[in-house]
Amino acid sequence: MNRLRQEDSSLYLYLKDIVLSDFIEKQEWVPLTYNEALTIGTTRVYEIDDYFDPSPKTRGRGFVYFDDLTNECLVNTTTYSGTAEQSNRIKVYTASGTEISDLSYVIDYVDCRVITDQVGVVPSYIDYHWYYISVLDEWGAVKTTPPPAVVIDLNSSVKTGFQLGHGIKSIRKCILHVFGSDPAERNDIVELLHNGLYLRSCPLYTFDKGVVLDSDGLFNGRKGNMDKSEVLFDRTTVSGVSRMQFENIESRNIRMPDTMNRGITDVMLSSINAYRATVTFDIITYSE
Amino acid sequence: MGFTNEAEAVRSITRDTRLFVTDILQELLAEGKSVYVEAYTELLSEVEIPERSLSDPFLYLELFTSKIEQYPFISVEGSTMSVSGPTVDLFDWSGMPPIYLAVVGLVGIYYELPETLFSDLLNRGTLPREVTAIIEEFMLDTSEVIGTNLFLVPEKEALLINTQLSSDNKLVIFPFSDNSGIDIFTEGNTRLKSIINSDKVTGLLKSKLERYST
Repeated sequence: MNRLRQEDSSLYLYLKDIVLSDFIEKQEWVPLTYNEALTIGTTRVYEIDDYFDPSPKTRGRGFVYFDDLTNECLVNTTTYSGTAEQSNRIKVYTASGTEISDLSYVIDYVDCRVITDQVGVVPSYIDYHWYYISVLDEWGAVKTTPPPAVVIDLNSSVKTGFQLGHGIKSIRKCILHVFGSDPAERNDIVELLHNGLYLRSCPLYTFDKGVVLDSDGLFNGRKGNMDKSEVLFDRTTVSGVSRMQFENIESRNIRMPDTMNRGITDVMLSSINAYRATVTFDIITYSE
Repeated sequence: MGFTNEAEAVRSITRDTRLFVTDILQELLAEGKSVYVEAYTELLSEVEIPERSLSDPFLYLELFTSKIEQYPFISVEGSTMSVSGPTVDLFDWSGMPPIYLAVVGLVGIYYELPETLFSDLLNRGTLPREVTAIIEEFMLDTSEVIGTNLFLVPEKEALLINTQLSSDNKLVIFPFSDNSGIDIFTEGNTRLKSIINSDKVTGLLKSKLERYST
């Protein structure tokens, strides 16, 4: 993985799991439906219905895959080897209300599914935490997801020296495009983002073992391994490079032409454009 | 009386100094302003514009140029004069909303429907009511430049309207659909900053001082 992608993915994690953690929502006792079409052999798939708006299944959302990270060490050390998959964000129950052990199933965090091949295990209800704000890494994806959403746009970079001899100071320009469901929600998100960046920094991870989730939505490394404690998300940082520091943070609302702002009923189809803002900032890193 | 004369003298010197500096800045800004217009044409010409589009940036170039000319680059507060370039929020976008949308970005695919054609369609009475309601949601005030307002119609409704139009009259795509925003000011503002900080300013100040002192 090259530096730009490492920075992009590290920022994505920081925003989604730390800065926007206030917008993690919880749903309880939600029915699970058996999806026969996705079932292969003895591996059965159960999923939640789409009756929430926005749906947790929409792009950039999904189930929460880590436990609360407050006070968690977010960088690997000699005594810390990474972050474990969540253990208290999702609970799965039988029809009679008995909790099913998480050794009996795996979670597809992207498509919000419970997958099991255990005979006699029938998941029927689920309690889950989910990301209310969609965090996306490309502008084109935002039209397929309902607000609120945040799009990360790393768009240009400048590199200069910072000391005698070798050493590079890299300045990456970043824009966060914010799409709210209404003005109050947009303002809340912008304020949260601004506060989460001002005078802050985040680790730059190597992602040598991949990002948190595999392409199939499972926690990285969990395919074929039913024991959560054996797979951790690796938080090794890039050697010889500083943390990513955030500077020159500016936020502003984007005013749409007047006819688009006549009221929520009038802007239903264009609502993704109606309540927007941007947060711009520089990401500074120093490398030896 | 002596005090009044001194005060007047100070006011006179301040006024002269301000005129003197403004004079220099105006000369420098003439060069800077052309950079904004160049950036406008360069950046927006990179976008593919459909043949009959009423959002073609070149239609709005004259208006943009005149607004750059009128932009208050120099501001005076007390004894401080400052120079600052336009920003998306401070620039006057009236009359050119398609360009504003190009700059701030727009999610989704939209088609252009001139108000005159919309009136014709309404008179025919063939558009379902829910479609006309959706069309009316997104109107751009473009009458100053193209002589009619422009509705931006979502793709689904546009395709429906196109079934009722002849092939040479079909709605064309809004060229700045689904774009994350085109920055047309940064280049000009960077250039302006470098002009203000350049040796040229010192040279101009010297030559003007000589002219004023003779």
